[in-house]
Amino acid sequence: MTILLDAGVAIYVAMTTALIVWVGVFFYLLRIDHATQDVARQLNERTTATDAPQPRATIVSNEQAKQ
Amino acid sequence: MALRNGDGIKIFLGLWIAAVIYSMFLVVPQYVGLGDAGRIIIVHVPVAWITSAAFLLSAIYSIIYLWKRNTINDVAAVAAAEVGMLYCLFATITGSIFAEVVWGTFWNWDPRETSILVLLLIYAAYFALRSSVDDNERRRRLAAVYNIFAAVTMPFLLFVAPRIADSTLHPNCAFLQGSKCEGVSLNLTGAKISQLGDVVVELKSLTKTDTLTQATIEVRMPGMKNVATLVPSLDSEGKPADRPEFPGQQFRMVLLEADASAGTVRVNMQAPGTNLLSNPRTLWVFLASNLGFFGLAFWLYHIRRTILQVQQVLNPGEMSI
Repeated sequence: MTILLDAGVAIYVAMTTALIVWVGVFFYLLRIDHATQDVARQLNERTTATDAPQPRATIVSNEQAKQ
Repeated sequence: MALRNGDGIKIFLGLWIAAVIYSMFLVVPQYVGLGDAGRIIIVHVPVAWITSAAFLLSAIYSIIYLWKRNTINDVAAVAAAEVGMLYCLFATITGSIFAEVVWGTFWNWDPRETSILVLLLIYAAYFALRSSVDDNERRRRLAAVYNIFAAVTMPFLLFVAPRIADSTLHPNCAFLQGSKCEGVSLNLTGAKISQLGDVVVELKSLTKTDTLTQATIEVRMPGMKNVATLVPSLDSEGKPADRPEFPGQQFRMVLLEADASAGTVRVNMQAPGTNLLSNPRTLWVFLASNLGFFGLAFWLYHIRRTILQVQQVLNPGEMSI
């Protein structure tokens, strides 16, 4: 393992470690971003469906009204 | 994981920051006096700057909330403060790593370290305040007012306090020329003693040859039994030549001006990293890093804001923020 700490190698080890950490963080963020978008979209659809205007009166013909 | 519309810019951001990381290690040259540890500045400084931008944005949303009383603005203020807190922690951690490598300790209560810790505590109190009040409306109002006061302290803690402190290891002149770079003037026939931070300096002699102007300066530091003698010099073009190190420190003494006929000099303390952005490669990578971390902050803010909005719609009476 000491070879990783050699002056000429250590900088590449540090860079590789930083890149691996960043790639991990990036894909984790992308997953959260997608999941958040999904939940927000589903919620918007549900809210829109719930908020659809409901009929409060029924229009009927005169014959129907007489019956 | 399937890609969607809008992922292109995020992937571009990912590649951009990966390129910054690559450049930070393999494109940016080593700094004199700092070695490879100096590379962390490419991340540390942009993150600290974006911290202040995020806290400022949070305060602006708090002001808008108090004005319009729309909970969307309160949610935005919380999201921005959380991003600011995250970046502030990252700046503190990267700064500590730098301090360990260069100054030999992770934490030494340097004015800069102390002020950023105070800032962290101030914003930790903001989140503690939010979680301690049950009534939604009251919590939002109190938190917004607190947030505005917190933001007022932020520029002082991040930019002013460390620069007015007498003794700091932080390289104040690295990015803002003239912030505390004037140094002190010494005169062989007049005021020959002065102070640089907590270091007493005394001009003993000034000699000029064809190629060099050398000042002999005695240095007394706290905790140092003996007086040390440093001999900084200027070359024939008036540029600093020899920059002797203060005993037991990573700081150097630099001779900024010298007038041998009048017997006057101007000297200063120079921390490692001073003028590091004068290298064009370092400057470009530094600017790219600023852009990359700004984009990342905006993305984080957007995600967190969406989560908080969803939470607000699902549980309007049980907000945990």
